[in-house]
Amino acid sequence: MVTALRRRVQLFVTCLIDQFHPDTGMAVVKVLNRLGVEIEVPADQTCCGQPAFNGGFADAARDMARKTIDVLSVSDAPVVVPSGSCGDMIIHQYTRLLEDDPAYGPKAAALAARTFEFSQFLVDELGVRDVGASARGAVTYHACCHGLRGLGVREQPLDLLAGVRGVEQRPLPECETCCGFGGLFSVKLPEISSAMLARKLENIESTGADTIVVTDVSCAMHMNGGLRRRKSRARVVHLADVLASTAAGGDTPAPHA
Amino acid sequence: MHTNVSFYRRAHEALHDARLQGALDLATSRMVSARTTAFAAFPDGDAVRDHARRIRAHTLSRLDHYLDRFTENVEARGGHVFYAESGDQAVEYIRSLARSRHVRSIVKGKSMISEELELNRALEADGMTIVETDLGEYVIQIGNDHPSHIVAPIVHLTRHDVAALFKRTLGATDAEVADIGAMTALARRVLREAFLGADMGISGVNFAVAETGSVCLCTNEGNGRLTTSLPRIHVALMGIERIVPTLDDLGVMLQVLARSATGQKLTVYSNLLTGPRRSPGEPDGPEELHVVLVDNGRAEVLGGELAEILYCIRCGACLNVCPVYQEIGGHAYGTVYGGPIGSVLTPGLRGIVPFKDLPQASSLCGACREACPVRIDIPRMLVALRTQSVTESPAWLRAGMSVYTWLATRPAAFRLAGRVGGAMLRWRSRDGWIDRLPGPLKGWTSTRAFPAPPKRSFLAKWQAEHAGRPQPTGDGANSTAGPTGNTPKAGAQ
Amino acid sequence: MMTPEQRERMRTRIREKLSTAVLPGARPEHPGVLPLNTTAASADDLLDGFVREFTALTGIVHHATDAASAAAAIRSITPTPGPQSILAWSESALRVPGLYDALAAQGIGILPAHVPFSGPERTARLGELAAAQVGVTGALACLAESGSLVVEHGDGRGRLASLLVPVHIAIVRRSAVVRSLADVFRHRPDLTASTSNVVVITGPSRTADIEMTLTRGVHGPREIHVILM
Repeated sequence: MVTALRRRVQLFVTCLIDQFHPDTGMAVVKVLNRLGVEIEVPADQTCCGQPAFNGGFADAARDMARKTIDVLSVSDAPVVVPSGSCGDMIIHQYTRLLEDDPAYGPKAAALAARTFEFSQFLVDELGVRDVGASARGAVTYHACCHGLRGLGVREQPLDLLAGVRGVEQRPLPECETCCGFGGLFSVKLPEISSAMLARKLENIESTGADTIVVTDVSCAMHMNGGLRRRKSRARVVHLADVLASTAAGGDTPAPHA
Repeated sequence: MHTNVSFYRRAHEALHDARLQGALDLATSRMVSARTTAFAAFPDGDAVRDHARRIRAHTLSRLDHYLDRFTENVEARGGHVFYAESGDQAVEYIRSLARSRHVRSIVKGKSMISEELELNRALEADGMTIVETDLGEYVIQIGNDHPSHIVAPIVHLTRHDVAALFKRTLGATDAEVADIGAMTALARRVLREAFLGADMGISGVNFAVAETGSVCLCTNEGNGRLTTSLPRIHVALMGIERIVPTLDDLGVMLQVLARSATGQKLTVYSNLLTGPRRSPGEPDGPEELHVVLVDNGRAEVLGGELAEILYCIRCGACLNVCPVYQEIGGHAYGTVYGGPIGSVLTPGLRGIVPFKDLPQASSLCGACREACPVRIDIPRMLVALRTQSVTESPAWLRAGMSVYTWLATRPAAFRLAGRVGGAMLRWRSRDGWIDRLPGPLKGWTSTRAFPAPPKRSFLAKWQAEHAGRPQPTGDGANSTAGPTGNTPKAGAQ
Repeated sequence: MMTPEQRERMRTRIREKLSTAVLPGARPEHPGVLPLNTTAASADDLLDGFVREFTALTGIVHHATDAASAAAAIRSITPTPGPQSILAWSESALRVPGLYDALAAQGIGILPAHVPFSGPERTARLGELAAAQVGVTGALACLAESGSLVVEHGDGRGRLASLLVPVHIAIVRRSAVVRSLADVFRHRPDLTASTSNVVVITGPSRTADIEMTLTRGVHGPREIHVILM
């Protein structure tokens, strides 16, 4: 449960957070630091390979998997991933992809054993639900699919949100229904993806919440893109963005600096 | 089975059919909540599902053995078993059986496999009358339509559609189609005549039981019982995988089948048939029972990484929870089996190339696997199918993926590409958003804005803030570490 | 119609394919029976459970102690009692001695149940049976868990009596209530040895095919009754 305060982890920041939501990466670091965790950031990290894997490009996925394993195996510190889909990739799919690789198969298994999704790390590993955050406004939580069904991330984000002072949590109807992103699915089958998005956004609007909290930036980009077109005030943020907020009575942070 | 050439067009039409959208919402939400309620009230549910999965897995791993035992036992009770490698052989067997027994009229219970075989058409060509007796299937038949859902075949029709159809094809009066009750009563009368006059009844099989040589049919309407009890010949059609070893195993399957499909504990009739009528003591039942075991591509599926799809017990739960199916319905798939199960089974049975679009029509959300009573990992197999057909991917995607992979295995190049790509996106952006992405990516921006990336990536910021700091542990040759504790300079703002 | 070679070819093909089959969770030995932690329920609890579930399915429960009271119950259920109203199992199958006489005393006659395989006698017989208003059968067991009737057909125990008629009545001993189908299979592993048909009936015939709206009495009975003896 509660472990020694001095812990050290590696942050696998994920290519989407690195490029599109760097502040979310900063927020993850801030929250972990606040809890007494030291962060290493391997400079050579790139992409976990999930888009390739899901698209059927198995060899490409294996190349990226081997590279990522190398990068994350220099240090033996546990790995924290602020993404359910990248987390699922490393924790479950790497061993499958590399099961016939005598060198990387075992390395994949070793890496999987010490890799954690961000909210699972806080709640299940550190035993923490209150990270000292405070914010204002009404939020609603959307359960991203890979985290939910791939990794079993279900209660942890909700527990963490409940620990944020000043925030009003509203339940999202059909909160476990896919937002329609699905990686390349969003551009290969844009009509179906958009229909799923529309349904998700209608559910979001029905809550009246201004802020939607997710554990995957990919889903956030998809939903924010739709909200922007609807000229909606609501915005989707990553859980870390909320948890990093200590603005006394301040607003929850916008996703775009 | 119709080809899949126009999956995208069919999906497009479905998305713009407001009535279908309403019907899909109604049907799937009802069935989803019924299933959830049923399992919430079933405390042993998870254990039973795990056990059901073990039974299916074990059975398939010894399929030849169980088919042998089943055959012996059916024959011991006076039934006949025919092994059909292909759909054509199955159809031929039934046709020649019907001819040799002077069959003129046939009643049919619901059978998905008979649709794979296109059986009705062949028998009608021989001059036989064949009537579908499941109400939904009957409506489909007289309307020349196709079922849109495994369990609820006419979710896409309203009561007015059915009323109009009955008036047109049956000459029904207004009173006879005044409401759903009246229409059901009309169908009952019409179909009763068919039952009473039929020479042969053809049914599907939900589960065959190897140790007793029985076939079990699960229905709600009673047509399954009438089809298999009134006509003097009963033909039971089944895929070779629809088998369980023992009666106890059947009991386990029955515990999860109806709950998963409609939220009922059991279907109204679980009908267990073992051989034909035992004359002279039994007063009714068929004179002959023929079980037709159909391969039609199943052995091929069994031999590979898609074998798990054969665990399926045809409950339809995956269709109901699938967010894609909820938007486009069953017709869009253009095949006998739609939804998540169909996206694996159809390419498995018929080949990936003509059906390569089906496995793409998924966000891999995993809701199907979560709902499946035997926990079939459909997303795993969708990815496997995508991998098998990756050479069919569009050229832009293959080229793009090669470039991306090359970059992702070379960190410095990846960073540079990120800076260059970011700059290009920012150049196209207005107010932090891009409203038109080029080429094949325009699908995104048809309904969504795309964000312009900030100037500095996380890694760039981190390097800038932590360059030159001492490394605490590990060899850290390619990592930088941030300070700990509550110091204000802790690497974030 | 099928040569042995064809069957052998299919079997061989299956065996061949099994060598490359990816079957997650498959074990070579049968997984056995799932041991579920169920506390033993008393006969009264089981009976209450059955009545509750059966009633929830719109089933109607009657009580009787002998042939006369059973016949009275049947008469009360029959819309227009007459000499050709009822399709019933044989008296010995129903295990209520004197029932037929008691019914006759109520003016109710039983139709002959045998259905010939072909010919004009078949058509005539089916015509008679199709007009029956009520079907009377026994039941091997009642299931408390689901309110189901387990009906084992056989000599003098026809299928149509619970199927062709609009109203089905099952005469059952109170002691025949068990928890679930698993119990039935456990007590009678030879269940299918002497009958061509066992059916588990859970409520009246129904469909929700049209607009997901529930309608009862599609092809099978729309009304089910149980007479507990």
